[in-house]
Amino acid sequence: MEKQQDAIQRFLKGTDSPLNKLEEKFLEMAQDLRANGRVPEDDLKEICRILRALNTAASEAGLKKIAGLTQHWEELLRHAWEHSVVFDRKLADLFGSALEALEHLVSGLRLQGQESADITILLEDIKAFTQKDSDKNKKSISATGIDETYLGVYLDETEQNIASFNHDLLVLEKNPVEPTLINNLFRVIHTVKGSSAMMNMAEVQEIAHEMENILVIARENQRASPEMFPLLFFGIDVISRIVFSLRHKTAATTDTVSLIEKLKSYAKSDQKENKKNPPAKTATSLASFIRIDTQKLDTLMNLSGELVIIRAQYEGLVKQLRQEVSREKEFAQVLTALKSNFLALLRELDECIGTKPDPQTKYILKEAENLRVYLERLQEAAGQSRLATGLRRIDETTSVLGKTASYIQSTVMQARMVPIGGVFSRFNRIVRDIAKELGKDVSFVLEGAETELDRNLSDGIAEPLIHMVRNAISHGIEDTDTRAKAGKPARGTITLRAFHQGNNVYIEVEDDGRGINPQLLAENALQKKLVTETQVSRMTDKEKMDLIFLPGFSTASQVTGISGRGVGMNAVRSMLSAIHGTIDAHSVIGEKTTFILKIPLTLAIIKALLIAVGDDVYALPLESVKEIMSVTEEMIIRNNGQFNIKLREQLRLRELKDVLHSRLTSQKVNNIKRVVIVADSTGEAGILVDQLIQETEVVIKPLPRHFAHVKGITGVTILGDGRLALILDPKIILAK
Amino acid sequence: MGEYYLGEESPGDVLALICFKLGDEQYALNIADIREVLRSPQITHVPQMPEFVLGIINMRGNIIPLFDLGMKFGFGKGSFHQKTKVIVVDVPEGQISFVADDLLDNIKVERSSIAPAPSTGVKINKECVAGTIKIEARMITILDLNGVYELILEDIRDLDH
Repeated sequence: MEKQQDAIQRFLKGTDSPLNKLEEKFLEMAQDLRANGRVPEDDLKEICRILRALNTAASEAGLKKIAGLTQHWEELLRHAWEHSVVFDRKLADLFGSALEALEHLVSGLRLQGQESADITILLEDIKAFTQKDSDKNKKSISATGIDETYLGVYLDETEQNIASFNHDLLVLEKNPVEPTLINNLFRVIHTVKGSSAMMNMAEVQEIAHEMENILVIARENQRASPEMFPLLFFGIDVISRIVFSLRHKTAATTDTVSLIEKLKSYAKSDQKENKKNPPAKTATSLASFIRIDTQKLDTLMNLSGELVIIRAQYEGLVKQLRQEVSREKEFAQVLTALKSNFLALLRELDECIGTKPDPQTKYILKEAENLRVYLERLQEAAGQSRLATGLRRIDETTSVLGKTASYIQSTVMQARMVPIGGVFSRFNRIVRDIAKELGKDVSFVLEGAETELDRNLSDGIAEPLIHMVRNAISHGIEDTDTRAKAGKPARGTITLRAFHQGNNVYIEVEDDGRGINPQLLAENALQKKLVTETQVSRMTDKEKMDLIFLPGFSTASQVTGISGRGVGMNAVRSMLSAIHGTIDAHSVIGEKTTFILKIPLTLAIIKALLIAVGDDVYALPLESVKEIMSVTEEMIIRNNGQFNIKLREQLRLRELKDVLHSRLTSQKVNNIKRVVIVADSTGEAGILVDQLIQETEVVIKPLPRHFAHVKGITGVTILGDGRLALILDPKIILAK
Repeated sequence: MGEYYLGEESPGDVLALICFKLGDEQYALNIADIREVLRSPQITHVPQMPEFVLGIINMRGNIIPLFDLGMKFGFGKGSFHQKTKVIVVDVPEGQISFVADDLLDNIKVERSSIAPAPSTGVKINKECVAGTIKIEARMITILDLNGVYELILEDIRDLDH
C-alpha cells in the first residue's frame, strides 16, 4: 500500500503542468477551429503525447479510471485525425467533458485519495464516437486492419521492448521482490499495449493489457509470485511470435484466446483474494505530503542567505591568513640569508684564529656552534609549515560552501516564487465555461503570465479573480447584437494582465464591455440607502466608482445564481486586504472596465541598482532607472536649494537626504558626481549619488512594522556581505 | 547551566537575570526575554525616525530594529565603544534590539529579594521598572520589557500623525 501511495503522490506532483497544458491546447484548438475551421496536426500530436504521458503515469500509479480515460481520449483524437474527422462542436464538447472529468478525478485524488468521479457515461460517449467514425471510414484501413506506414516503426520498437521485457523478467525471476524491475516491466508492456492499440493490433493489445494487470498485482504485493512467471513468459512469447509473423509476412498460428483467458483468470483470482482485505484509507497521509508551511520556507530563506554571508566572511579570513603565510615565507627567506651569513662569519672567524685558540676564543667558538644549531632548527621549523597547504584547502572548501549556499538559496527562492501563469491558466477554462453558460462570445487574453509572485499570494488571488472575471462576462460584456450596434467587434474580450511595478504585483482584469457609469452606481447606492444625497453630491466620479466596493451594494447573485455586478466586490476587496492588497476600478463608459489589483510582495526579487550615498547603500529598482550620467560640480546650478544641471535645465536634481528627510546622510565632496535619472509616466528627476555600486537582483524584505510610516522606503534587502540596503521608492524622488 | 535548571525546578521562587549597563547604571532583564546578544552588528540608518531609533540590523536574515534605550531614558545619546553590545529581545510582534554599554553577568535571585520600584531614586520611567535588587554594593534595576516596549511604541505611534 505504501508503494501505491507513493506512486499516487508522484502522479499528482506531475499532473499540474500537463493539465494546464491540456487546457491551453484545448483553448488554442478552439480558437484555431473558429478562425480556420481546422486544427493543426501538430497540436493534436502534442495533445496525444501529453495524454500518453498521463496514461503511463496513471497506469504506473494504478489509477485505473484516469488511465482508462486518457487512453480513450487519446484514441478519440487519433481517430479524429487519422480519419480526418472534422473537429466539430461535438468533438470539442467531448474533449471539454473529458478535460472536466480528468480534473474531477485528479482533484478527487488530491482531496480524498481516490478517483471518486464516475466516468462510465463519458467513456461510452467517446467509444460511441470513435466506433461510428471508424465504421464510416473502414475503407481507408488496409485489409489486415493495420496501418502500413507506421508498421516498420512499430515493429522495431516492439522488438526492442520484447527483448528488454525478457531480460528484466529473467532477472526478476531470481529476485522477485525488486520493485524497480516490476516497474520497468510494467512500463515496457504498457508501451507495447499503447502502440499496439494505435496500430489496431487488438490481439497484442489485449495480451499486453492482461500482462499489465498481472504486474499490477505484483506491484501491489511488492513481489512477483512464482505462478506469474510462466504466464508472463508465455505472454511475451506469443507477442513476440505475432510480431515476428508480421515482420516476415507469415500467418500467425498462435492461439491467443486461450492465453488471454489464462492471464485473465489469474488476475481475477488474485482480485478476489484482495477483496477480502480492502486497502486502508489513505486520504490523510496524501493531503499532508505536498504542503509546506511558508514560514518554514521563510526561515530557510533567511538561513540560506546567512550561509552566503558566512562564506564571504570565510573568504575574508582566508585572505588575512594568506598574508600571514606570505609573511612567514619572507621570514624563512630572512632566516636562510641569516644562516648563510652566519656560516660565512664562522669560517672567517676560524681562519683568523688559526689552530691554537685560547680558552676565551674556544668558548666563543662553542657558543657560535650552538647558535648555528639553533638557527638550523629554526630554519627547519619555518620550512615545515603546513599552513600554506591547509590554507589552499580551506579556500577550496570555502568556494564549495559558497556554491552550495547559493544553490540552496536559489532553490528555496524558487520554491516560494511561482509564475502567475499557474493561476491564470485556470481562467482559460473558467472564461470558456462562464461564456458558454451565459451564451456569450468571449475571447480571453493573458498578459504577463511569467510575472512571478509568492506562492501563498498566488493562492490568495485566485478566488477574487474568479469573482471579477465572472462579473466581467456576465455584466461587462454585452450580447452580440448590442455590440454590433455599438460598432464593436462581435466577440468580447476579457484580459487578465499581470506586471511588476515598484514592489508590487499589479493584476488587471479588463473587459471591453459596456463600462460602468459612476452616476448609475451612485443612484443604486442611494436606493439602497448606503449613502445620502448630500454625500453623493460632493463625490467625484472616482469616489462614485468606489461605491461598488461597499458592503451590500448588490444582492443580485442570490437571485440569479450568477454574480451580479458588484456582488462580491466587497468580498473581493476584503480578500485582497487580507493579503495587504488594494483594488481600484476604472471605466470608460461604452468602452471598457478595468479592475486594478495591487499586491505588495512579502518576498520578491527585483533587479536593482545599488547606489552609495554617504555611508549608506540604497537599492533603486532598476525598472525606474532611465539614465545615468556623470556631472562635475561646475555643471550643477544651485539656486535657492534647487539644483539643476547645465544644458538640462528641465531636469530636477535632488539630493537623497532631502528626499528622505534624513539626518545622517551627508554626501561626500567629490568633484565628479553621478546622477541617476529616474522616470515614470508622470515625469523624471535626477538624484545625486556618490557611487554606483552594481546592478543586482535583490530579495525584498519588508521593513519591521515600527517603520511603517517611513515614506520613500519600500523595503530592505540584505547585501552579499550581510549589510542591509534600504530599497527606495522611485515615486518619492519623482514627487514634486 | 545547572543553575538555570534549578530555576526551572522551582519556577516561582528564583529568577534568572542578565545584567547590563546603560550609561553608568546597572540594569537587568529576565533571561527568558533575551534572544541573543550581538557584538557589533552593522547598523543601517532609517530616515524619518526619532533619534533614539538607531536603525535596523541583520540577525541571520531577520531584520530587527535597534534602539538607543539609554537615550530614550534620557541619559543622552549613547556612543559605541569596545564594550558595546546589542541585546536582542522577544516582543509580541517579533524581535527588537537595543544597545547596552556593557554586558555584565548572569545572576539568579530569589523573587522575594526583589524590591518594588521605589518612587524616588530610579532614573527611568516607572512603567519600565519591574523592581530593583541590591547585591552587595550593586544596585540593579530590573526592567519590565513590556513597559519598555510600550514606551518605544508611544513615540513611534506619534509619528503616524
